Amino acid sequence: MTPSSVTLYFFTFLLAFCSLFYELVYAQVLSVCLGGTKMQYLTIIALFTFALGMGSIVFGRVKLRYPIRKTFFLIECLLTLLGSTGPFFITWLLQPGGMEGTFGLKVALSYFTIFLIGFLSGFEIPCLFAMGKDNKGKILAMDYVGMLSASILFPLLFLPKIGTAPGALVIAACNGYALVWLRCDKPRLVTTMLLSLVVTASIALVLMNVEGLNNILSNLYLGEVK
Amino acid sequence: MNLLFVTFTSSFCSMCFSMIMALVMTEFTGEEVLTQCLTVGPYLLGLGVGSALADRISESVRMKRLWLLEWASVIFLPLIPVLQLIGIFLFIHFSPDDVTLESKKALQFLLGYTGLLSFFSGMLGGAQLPIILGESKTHSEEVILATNYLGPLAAGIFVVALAGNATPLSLQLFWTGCIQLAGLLALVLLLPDRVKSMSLLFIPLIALIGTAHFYPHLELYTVKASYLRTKADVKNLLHPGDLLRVISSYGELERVRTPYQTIDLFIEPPDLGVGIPGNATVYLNRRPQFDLLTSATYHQSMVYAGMNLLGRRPESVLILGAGDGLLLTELRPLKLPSVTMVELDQGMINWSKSNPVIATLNKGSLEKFPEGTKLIVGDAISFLRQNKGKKFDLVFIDFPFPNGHELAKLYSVEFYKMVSSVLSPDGIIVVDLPLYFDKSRELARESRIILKTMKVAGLEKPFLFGPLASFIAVSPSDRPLAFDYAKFPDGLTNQAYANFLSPFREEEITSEEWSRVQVNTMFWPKDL
Repeated sequence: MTPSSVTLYFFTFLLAFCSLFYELVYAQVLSVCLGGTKMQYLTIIALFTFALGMGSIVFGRVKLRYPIRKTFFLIECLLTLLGSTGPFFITWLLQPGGMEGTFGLKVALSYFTIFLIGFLSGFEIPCLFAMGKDNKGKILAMDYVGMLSASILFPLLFLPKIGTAPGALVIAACNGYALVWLRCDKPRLVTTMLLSLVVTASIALVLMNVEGLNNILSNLYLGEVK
Repeated sequence: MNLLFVTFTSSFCSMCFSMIMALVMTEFTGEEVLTQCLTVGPYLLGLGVGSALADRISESVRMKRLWLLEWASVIFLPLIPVLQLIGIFLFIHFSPDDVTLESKKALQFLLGYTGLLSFFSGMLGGAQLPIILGESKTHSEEVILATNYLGPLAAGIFVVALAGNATPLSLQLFWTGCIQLAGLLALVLLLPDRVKSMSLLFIPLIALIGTAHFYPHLELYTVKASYLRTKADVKNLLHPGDLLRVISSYGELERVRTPYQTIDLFIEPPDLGVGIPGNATVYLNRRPQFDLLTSATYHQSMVYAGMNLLGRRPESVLILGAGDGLLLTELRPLKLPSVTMVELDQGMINWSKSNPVIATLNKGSLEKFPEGTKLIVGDAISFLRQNKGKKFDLVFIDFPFPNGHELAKLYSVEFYKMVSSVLSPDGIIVVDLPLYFDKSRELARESRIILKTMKVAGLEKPFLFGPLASFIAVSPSDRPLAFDYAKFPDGLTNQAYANFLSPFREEEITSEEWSRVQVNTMFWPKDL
């Protein structure tokens, strides 16, 4: 089934928004854990752009095992997982009593997670191109608008209003809408509505526990949670 | 091969300039996160728009357009930071009197302006890729794309390495411009009319050298104007030389850039006609830290308030920050058994040792340490996180003011919890903090946030003092803090004694009001 253009553009916007948002959240978490806000943001933006390109190139060269829609669904599952749990994982990893291992290795692992998000996000555009063959220009435009929106809304709305961890979880839940869209190949109204309800409920749940979620991250950082 | 090199230099340089743009603006706004985000977003959008527009270029003129774009980029991109400075300079001079560079209005203007410049720089970068993809006959699309994406990664490493070494922005601009010029040269070799194009290379070369040469001067004028808060009339624009002469002739500005901060020492001459004495003010990241006339008051207040509130001779003292060595100067005569100072910035320490004004003020306290005094060059947060059970009776926290997220971390719940964990049970923390008041003389939002943050961190009874230079003293113990005025030593400045008055009453804030005050955490930073 070919998705309608409007739906396709909306999800292009949403997925680009989510990808850059995750990276900005990671930049914020790393700037807390490692220090040097300016340097962390510069490094992560550079790494993200590189990973995005690499993902796009690699996707063009691999032979897909599953149909495009299922592949896309799996990619989004991974991105949702990495986006939502990554900030907690990195904070735990870099805490004084966190995972065993040299500090350099832990930092490398943190950056690898960031690279992975960029790399997987790089798969999105070729997937979207495959789904909306005649609308490449508009898909690209929505992709850039999505990233622009993330870069504006993260520092002006999400970070000051709900903080890092809830921000990542809300956006991961929004990514969940894309999962619903991709999963419901032959959309049945009831299934779609039910899944959308679950996603909306999880967003509401996150928003109701903003302080608690930020405290979890703080406690992980202070080593009060092992 | 040449086209691949052009691809790399084009993406590398446009990303480098976008990052340099963000660095320039961060220096003036102090807002790292906002500036970084609002530079990268428009840049990415510009890439997309440029790419879409370039798709429309017809095949017959592609190489000509590529040359033109690359040529324009080599001239325009290094000029962007200069345009940023000119924008800031004009804003300082033509904004209303009550709008300072630290105000929200200034932030909106500066970020909007930078976003626009970033968009154009992205557009120039983005427009080149589709043309190269269309023109390349020897390389596959993937190889060109991979080279194109390698550029931003290399740019990140390059800019971070240069900024980490405190390389002046003019040099960062120059090196990046040279790399772009090399790309342009490689492109010229692919063109049929090489001689004509080669002759046009001197224009960007001159523009680049001019930019690198004039940037530091323009930067000094702009920074100085921001400290003097000079204003101008539209007709002054007809004679900009006069305006610049006035700014340059008043006082003397010394600017030192370290990997962590920019230190400014602004020396103002005395006005003998009206009896105003000269002064020298130290600014860290453009925020005033201390000045010559009030330095003794400030540092004596901090040290002796802590000693007085502790009520006994401290066994061990921890100083966080204070790389100027002035707190050490005050502590030295007390011959305390153990003083540990943790300062992040070796550049600040070196400058405080070598600058004649500061070295005279700190009496060489950073040159040779008495027995028991130890200097650790490192991050205060890392020191606190890795501290293995050593306790301190007195902790002096002397950081720059919390403008921007990087510094706001040092005023967060997590940070205060970490400081509490190294404090002896009756220990005292003295924090240098400007207490702001709003128009109705109520403690302002920012100060309330920091007080509430301390309370949440378990430091429940903050004691505020210092009508001349304000501080917060706090202890994890339950005993209420108050000065024993009889125990202050002789020999302090009159202003220091006056500064031990405590006219602030945080108890006047009701519990309902407290409940509405936000808490600053590292992961949920508040606008301080």
